[in-house]
Amino acid sequence: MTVSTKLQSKISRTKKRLFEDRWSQAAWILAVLGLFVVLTGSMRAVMLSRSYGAVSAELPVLRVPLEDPGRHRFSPKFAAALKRTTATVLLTADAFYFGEMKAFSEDFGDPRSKFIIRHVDQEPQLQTLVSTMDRWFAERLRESQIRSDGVVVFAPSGEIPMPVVIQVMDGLRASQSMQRVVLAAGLL
Amino acid sequence: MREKLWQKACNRVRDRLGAESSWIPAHVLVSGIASIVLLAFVMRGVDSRAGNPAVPLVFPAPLQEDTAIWISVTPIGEEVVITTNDRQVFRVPQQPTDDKAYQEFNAWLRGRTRSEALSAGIAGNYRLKQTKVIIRADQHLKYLHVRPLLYSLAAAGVTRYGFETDLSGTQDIAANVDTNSDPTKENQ
Repeated sequence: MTVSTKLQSKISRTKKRLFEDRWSQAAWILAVLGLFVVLTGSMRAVMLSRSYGAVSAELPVLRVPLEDPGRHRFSPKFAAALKRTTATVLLTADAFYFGEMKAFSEDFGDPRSKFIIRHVDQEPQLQTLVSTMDRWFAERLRESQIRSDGVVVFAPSGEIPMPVVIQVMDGLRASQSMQRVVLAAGLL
Repeated sequence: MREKLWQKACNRVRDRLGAESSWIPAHVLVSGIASIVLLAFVMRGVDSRAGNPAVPLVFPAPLQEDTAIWISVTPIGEEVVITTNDRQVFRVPQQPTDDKAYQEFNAWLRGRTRSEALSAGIAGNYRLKQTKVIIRADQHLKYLHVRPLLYSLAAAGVTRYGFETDLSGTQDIAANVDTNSDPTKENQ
């Protein structure tokens, strides 16, 4: 017998063997189980969500006294307010700038009222900023009796990527004196 | 006595039905079981983030439960696409020149916040997360793309919002779950 004849006879014997009932049933069962595994895996990937966190921020509201004629006599309690002495942080492509809010408004031209922490290799020095601001809060309290109200106004410039903005917001909250972050706009 | 034709037909049917058969309704079983499996997944609810193109920052942040208002922001081409958790899609230019670009989105947001406030009032039970907006900002966004969104939040009366982060693969996952955290109590 030639090689091709031998091969053809082997192929036909294999075909006959695989088409026997016991093999076709096993193939059926395996195919169905495989289909269920694929369906289950893909549906699970689509339906079940991963875990997500959130870096929180707040938008300030105007203090408007509400009259409550009902029995409850509800009156809103304000935990903090934005003042001229509220800590403000600016983020540009070159550096962090921080100071009181009046340093970036009415005293904008005064270089002594604000502080700068330059980026190193275009990397914002967030840890340095937080530690420096903590020292500044302590010094301000000692010298001017101005206590931090826990609010920081953070104003990044427009070209800053959102991942950097989010990480800086979370990093600022690491300080006890800056638990509430207010994202600002319009200064730069 | 010769059997009549109908008697012969009945006997044939009786013999056929009385004979043992190894046939099983495999097609029906497979499709039925597949339908049950798929239904079991769908009944749990569809993940609102499934198929969303925005890729959030992978960053450890406090675990956040789903809030009533969730929006996703991603840049696609020359536009910024805003997707909401009720499957509304808004397309705005990356640098809008006037307020009209966000007009539809502003109307939607105002409607949502009002409906949440109304349902909370009717139920007599308000949870802070009902009017907290979670923003899933894509990593390719810059702050200038998100700024108009913050103006929209302010116009709709939203005071609490957060930026969503992906906790997959982050080791340091905070144990606190930010559900009913009251900002007035955080600073006490």
